[in-house]
Amino acid sequence: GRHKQWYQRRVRGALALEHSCPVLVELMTYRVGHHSTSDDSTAYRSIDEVNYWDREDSPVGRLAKHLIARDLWSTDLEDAYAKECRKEIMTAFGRAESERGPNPLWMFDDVYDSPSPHITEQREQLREHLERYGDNYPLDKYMPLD
Amino acid sequence: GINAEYGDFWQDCCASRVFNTPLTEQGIIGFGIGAAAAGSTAIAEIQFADYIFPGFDQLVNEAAKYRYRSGNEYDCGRLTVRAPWGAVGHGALYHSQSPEAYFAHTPGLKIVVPRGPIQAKGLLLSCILDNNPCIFFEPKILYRLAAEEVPLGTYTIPLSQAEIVRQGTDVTMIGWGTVVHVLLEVASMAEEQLGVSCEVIDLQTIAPYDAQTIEASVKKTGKAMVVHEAPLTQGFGAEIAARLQEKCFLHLEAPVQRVAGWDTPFPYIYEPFYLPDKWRCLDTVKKLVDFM
Repeated sequence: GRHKQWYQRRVRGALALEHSCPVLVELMTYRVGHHSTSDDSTAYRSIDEVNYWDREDSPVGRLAKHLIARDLWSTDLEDAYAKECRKEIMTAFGRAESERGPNPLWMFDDVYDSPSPHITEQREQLREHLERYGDNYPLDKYMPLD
Repeated sequence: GINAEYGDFWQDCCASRVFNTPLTEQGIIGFGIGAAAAGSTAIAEIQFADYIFPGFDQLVNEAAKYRYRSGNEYDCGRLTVRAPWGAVGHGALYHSQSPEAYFAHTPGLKIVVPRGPIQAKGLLLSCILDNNPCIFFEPKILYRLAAEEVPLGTYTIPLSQAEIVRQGTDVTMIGWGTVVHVLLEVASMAEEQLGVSCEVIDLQTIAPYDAQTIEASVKKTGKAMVVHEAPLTQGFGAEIAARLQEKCFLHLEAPVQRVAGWDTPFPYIYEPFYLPDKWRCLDTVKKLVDFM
């Protein structure tokens, strides 16, 4: 995803185990990606800074290097696994996109714990409207009205 | 800004005067109020109108009442707050809201909504020059859709003045922002399909609004509808409907109609069914015309 986060851990785990006391663990993170699709973060930080955290000093990257150094992982395995994960995600994505949305009248659910008369009235107004003008709406992309 | 509203102009003219703030709407608006009260023209941006609410107290209890509570000794009239506003197709609950009704309810604030680039420039300049705290809501869907030949020089469009965007004789349609374009399309459809002549009015300033223009129109047509994206109950259409029935009762041939968002939070996947679109509006025209 957009937020590739890394964690620099100050682990007081040993302390917690030894002394059975509550421990505050502070995790520092660095946001590698832009804030959103509308953001160009080079406007407020240098690309060198981003690259440093992403490539040189990323805990995820460091873990990979560590495992490779111990013959527990390899760049080939990494590439293959990345490919497999991407395929799995894109398949799920495609399947989800082709699913129909819920019954549009469910739009009126959960405003309150139980529907109030004015909301029920509006639901019926929409139902009635769709009965007459339904051809102008993407109803085929949704489950049928109940 | 989030839609690159400021572009690069700030680098040329005034880098020290266009700046980012910490992410706190209460602070952004409070700071703007303070700067304005001290004599600076302050333009405060809220990234999405949906986020304006942490600053609600600052707007309602400070900005709106500054002049009144000091017996006109102090004011923050140099403040303008601007925020992207309204449906954008995929904005869902927190990037689609139209909060004008909350603020129109507070005497002391001015609320303005342009329908396109030409109006945006003229109305924004008016807000900046106006000696009262103004909130300027910008229909975000129009940022990339609307393209007009905007005059390069300085010009203003007066506040509290509605514009009759299309003349007509049978039905008065009142809206603001994005919906004005929907109404113009519906007016064409009504003409073609029903032989009905619609007058489309862009309210432009929500508060204080131009009651005179809309009353004159409704006295002429006898049939009125107000359309807004914000939810029906207590939307600004309610105020207009109340006023029209009070001032134009004997001229009305049908009850004043409102077409609005439903009384739910702004939905995500249900957006096509939520908005007061051209079909609901056209149906309302039919209802008005068929009433008697």
